[in-house]
Amino acid sequence: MSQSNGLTRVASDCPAPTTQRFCAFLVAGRVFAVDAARVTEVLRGQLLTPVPQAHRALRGLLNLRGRIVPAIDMRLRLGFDAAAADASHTNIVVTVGGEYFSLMVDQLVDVIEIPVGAIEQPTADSDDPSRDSVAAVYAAASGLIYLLDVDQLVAGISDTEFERKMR
Amino acid sequence: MNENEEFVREFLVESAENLDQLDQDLVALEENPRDPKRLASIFRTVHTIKGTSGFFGFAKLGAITHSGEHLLGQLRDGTIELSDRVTGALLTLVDAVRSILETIEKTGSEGDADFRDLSQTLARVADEAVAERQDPRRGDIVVTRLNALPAEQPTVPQTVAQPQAMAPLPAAAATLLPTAQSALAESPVVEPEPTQPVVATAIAQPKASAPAVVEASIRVDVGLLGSLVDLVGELVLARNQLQSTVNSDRPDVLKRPDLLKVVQRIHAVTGGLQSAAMKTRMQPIDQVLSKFPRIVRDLAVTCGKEVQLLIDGADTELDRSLIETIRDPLTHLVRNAVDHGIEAPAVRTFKGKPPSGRLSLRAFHESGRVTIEIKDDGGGIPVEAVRAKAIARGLIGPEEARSLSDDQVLQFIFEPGFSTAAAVTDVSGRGVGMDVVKTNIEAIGGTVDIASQRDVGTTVRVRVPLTLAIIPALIVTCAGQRFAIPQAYVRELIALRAGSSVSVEGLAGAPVMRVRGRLTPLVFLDALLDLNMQSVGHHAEHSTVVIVRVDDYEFGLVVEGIASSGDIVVKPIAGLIVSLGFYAGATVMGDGAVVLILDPRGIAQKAMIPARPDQEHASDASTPAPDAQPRYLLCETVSGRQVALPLEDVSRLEIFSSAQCEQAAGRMVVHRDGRLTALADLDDMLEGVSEKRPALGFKASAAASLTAVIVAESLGDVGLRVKRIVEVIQSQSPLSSVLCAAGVLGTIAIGGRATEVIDVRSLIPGKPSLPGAPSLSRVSA
Repeated sequence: MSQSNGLTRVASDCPAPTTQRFCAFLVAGRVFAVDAARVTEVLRGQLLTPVPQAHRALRGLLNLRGRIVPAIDMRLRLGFDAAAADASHTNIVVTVGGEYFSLMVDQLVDVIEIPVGAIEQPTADSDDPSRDSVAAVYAAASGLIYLLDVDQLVAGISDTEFERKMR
Repeated sequence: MNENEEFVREFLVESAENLDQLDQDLVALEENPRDPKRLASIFRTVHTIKGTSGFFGFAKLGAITHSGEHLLGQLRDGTIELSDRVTGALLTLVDAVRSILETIEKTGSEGDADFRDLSQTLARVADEAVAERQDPRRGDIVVTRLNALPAEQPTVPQTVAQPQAMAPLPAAAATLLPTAQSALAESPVVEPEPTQPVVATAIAQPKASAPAVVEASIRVDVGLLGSLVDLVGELVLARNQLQSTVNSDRPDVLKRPDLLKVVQRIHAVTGGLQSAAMKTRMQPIDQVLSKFPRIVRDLAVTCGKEVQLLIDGADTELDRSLIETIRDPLTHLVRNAVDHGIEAPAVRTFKGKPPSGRLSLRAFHESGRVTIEIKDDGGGIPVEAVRAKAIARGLIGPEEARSLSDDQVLQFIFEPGFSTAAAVTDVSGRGVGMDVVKTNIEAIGGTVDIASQRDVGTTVRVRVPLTLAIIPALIVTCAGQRFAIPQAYVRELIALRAGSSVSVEGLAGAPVMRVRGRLTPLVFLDALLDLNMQSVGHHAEHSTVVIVRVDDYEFGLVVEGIASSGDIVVKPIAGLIVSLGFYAGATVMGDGAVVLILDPRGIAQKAMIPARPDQEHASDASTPAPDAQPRYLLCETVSGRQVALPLEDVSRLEIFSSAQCEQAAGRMVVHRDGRLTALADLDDMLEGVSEKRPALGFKASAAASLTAVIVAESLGDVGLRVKRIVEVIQSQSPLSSVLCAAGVLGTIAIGGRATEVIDVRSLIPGKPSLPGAPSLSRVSA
């Protein structure tokens, strides 16, 4: 799981007391991260049951030890092209308002410590479709890390295909 | 006596738990003496035991807990501070209470032990702690004495009035103890008799063999139970996978009979574990019903009535989540019965009934559901008042009101804001309630029925499922995906096969099907869920129609097939999936896959299924209510004319291939159910009737298939050929018969457009339209 791409070094380089832990992952070649406190576990590929008429980024439901967890395809959610059908992915299970959701990412990078002071507001890049859920950015040694707002990730898929068709 | 015994048991179980909690609380309090929450909790517990012991006449228990409460009161008020001595005294109190409870459990009475010393000590500690906390020596003595106090200390049998036996008391205790003494004096059970009271023997006997009461049941955190059930579910899945591995005829497995034996054993144990785990969710309905004697008593007093409450079947079990849900609706129904149902004693006497009314609550299992019956022998619901109110509120027209039966009229009390109570009382009659009762019960898949007879009484039957956690369901397949439909909503299953007698329609726009003489709208699940957009013809071939009834909706859900049926464990799903409106939950199948549970109510709304106007009328189409909204089948004729046919004149819709049709005696006929049905083109017929010559049959067209509307059987074996079916509509628009052509009843406005309503009867030879014909009494053509 651990990647030697400089991100782990970030954590040790900045042992400032005011750091926040993030769970970093790859989606379409970019590094995103979510608050590690919201992550409950990380799973390998799981059998998914599609949910017809749901948002297209809601790829299906998985069975997490008897608990039904919706899985969000992060490529689609962040506005990238869908992954190849046979591409492997990792499920990062997060909690939102007492419910569990799984974020389907290409690859888990690592859990990283980010100094709170180094977290910056995202630049207004209107071309970026993932902008609605990017809460902040952090310039790591290896490049930009987009810090995502988990609540916004989930809230953004509450409108449905059915409703869109109706409009 | 029996009832009392039951209460004593409950008291013992509860108190035993409370005492354990007290121990913990006291210990925790020592570490954090000023924790007001802990103090309040301890105070409450001691107070509860004191109150209950007074109720049962356990005087010693009452006396010592009273002293303890006094001490705790001072602690709580901050008059004294917690010291070792105080804690010690309190812990001794706990031990003493425990010992008395044990004696009660064994013998049914408090026994001979004397606890007056303890009462004194508690009082003294309370007092001394205030005055002279600086005297450690005295405190030591107290503690020593308390610790030395044996629980089963045999002492001189206690006599009631013995204030002189008390040691000289400090001021605080002096004010306190007389109360305790008087409690002792008043109590009837104080004197330990050589022969035990009846209650005592009754309790004592089963004790000999049965495990102690306190061990027979324990309280378990509900969340823990939930996770236990989840884990068992996981185990069942793993077991299933294990079994399929073993059953896979692998040679290495077959060589191991010991392995097979173990697997078999795991199979059996897992099954047992599963059913036991599910039972942990079940609780007796008594949890709700036991509150009613008090509620009814208080209400009867408030309303100046006499009510005799009978409760039957309190041990009927249902899922604990349901128990909470039915509590409020049942309370409401009981309040209604006492407040509105049962008459005042004078009225009852006048009517020749006994002055005291009877209210019976009966709970029982019935075909996999729990029925709770609330029955009173009161004045009944004034049907005429309901009728008048319904008219006044504009729910029905005066005409329609007259035609509705009393039972139908009664249904209006479930309308929001409907009340017939002459006076709004404190108790009920504000007109809120029955609709909420119905909504709440229906939300858990239950039903509410009401029957009432003037001066005889009212019976309300609430039927709820046993559990929401495990429900029987039908697993259907559609476009390769499985879905579950709760059996509670499934009325029947109809297989659609090409050429079979039930194979019908599947016409774009407004697919319908005649089921048991009623046109039922169809919903194609694959189209609704956008699973795959196959051609319409595909459906008619191999499909299954699940006739679903929910609330006022009845429709046929067209699916590919039925995979299985059985009990499923309902799992909650994320709110954003529920809000899609199609799904009620999900379940995990034996193979570990997640299957969505369809929500028929939501589907009916999404598919815009019209609510059935009224069940009775729809099934009895020949006598429609004069004011009921008529329904029409809208279709387009071959020439492109849009016409409406009264739905009661339509039997079914069919598509025939041209190969099925043949010419016979100059007519076009088709073989159908072993009969010959004459086919006629609707255009031709309309033309023919205007030329006063009936036309049956038409020139065979080149079309490979033709769509026909088969008319109601009472009109003859005739099919009317049309180009296509548009939809079924319900029209409020009045039928206007001004300037209408022959064969046309009149016109109605559909979507702002005047559409001709065909007088089907007049088109069929030998069935002339009669003035005032029952099928369409509105207009005579």
